[in-house]
Amino acid sequence: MSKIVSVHSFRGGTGKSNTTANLAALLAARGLRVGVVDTDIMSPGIHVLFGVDESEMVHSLNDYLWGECNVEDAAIDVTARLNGSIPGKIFLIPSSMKTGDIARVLREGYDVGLLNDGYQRLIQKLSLDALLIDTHPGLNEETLLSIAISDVLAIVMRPDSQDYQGTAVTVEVARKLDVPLLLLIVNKTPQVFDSQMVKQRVEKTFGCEVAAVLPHSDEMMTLASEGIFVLRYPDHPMTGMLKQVATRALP
Amino acid sequence: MNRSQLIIQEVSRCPAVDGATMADILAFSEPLRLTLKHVVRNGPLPVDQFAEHLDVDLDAAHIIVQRLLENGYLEKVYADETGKNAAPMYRVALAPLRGRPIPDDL
Repeated sequence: MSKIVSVHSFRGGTGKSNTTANLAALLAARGLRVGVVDTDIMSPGIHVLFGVDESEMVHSLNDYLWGECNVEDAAIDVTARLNGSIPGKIFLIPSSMKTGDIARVLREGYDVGLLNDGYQRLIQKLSLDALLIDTHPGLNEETLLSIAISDVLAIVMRPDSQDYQGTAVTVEVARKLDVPLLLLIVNKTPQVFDSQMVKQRVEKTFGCEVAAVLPHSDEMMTLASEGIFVLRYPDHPMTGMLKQVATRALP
Repeated sequence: MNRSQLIIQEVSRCPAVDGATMADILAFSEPLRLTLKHVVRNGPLPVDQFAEHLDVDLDAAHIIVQRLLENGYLEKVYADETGKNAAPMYRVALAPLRGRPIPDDL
């Protein structure tokens, strides 16, 4: 049965899109068919990680939400362009980077029900094993929807007081919506922090499983979203940690 | 008041909406909230399955579904496209995300 995994954070800049892209690559490396939807319509960006240029987007999620195409028409098979032999598949459903399209969404809004229907249709039409939803930060109608429909909610946070406060809100909402599996990923952890202590503190604070404490990584920063970390650095300790997250999310 | 009566009271008092937002669903008590969330996730349900999820009898489920329908939280759909042969099912009527005034030349 297909699983929906939402990757969320209360605040921006936590590494959500990178986490989503890396998890997608790891799942596809296991032979799974994976869809990735960029629902961060106001500030899309995950397509950059997959090496997709704006000019290649014949259709986007925006077009589907405006009734101009089927949702699967916006899917781009990005598997072959990734640096690595991937037995599975990754289909990216990007959001448009055009200023006019973003302004149109702000001006006109869109049918949230259509977004929900789109997720199910993607799973069916692309025979997906997993659908990963890269969400907008914070709580709004789209993120509440993705939290509600998720089989797995991965919340990415930094070991930072603002993130602690915001994550508490998201965890509370996720509990009220009875998300089957809630995982915390602590990202960009300073190397001087003891990761075990961070894990224990976060687990105690939120009463949730911490799937990984990812260190601040110069390699990740240097890569600068120009590729998928786990494919570029398959033997890096952080790749091992992300593999554990992927296995926990989809055993 | 028993469980059925409490839920009926809750749906009778909830404000009428032009489609439900997830925030509306979050505001409901647990049995309603989790049932509606299930519908959002898994698709439309017939009344008997609403009864099962809410843990109420069929008569109560009919009343609850009808009130939610009248108040704009649910919409009726048919598994059969013609609607003639199938029992009705109910899905959450998600409210559209409204736009805001943005200059046309942006």
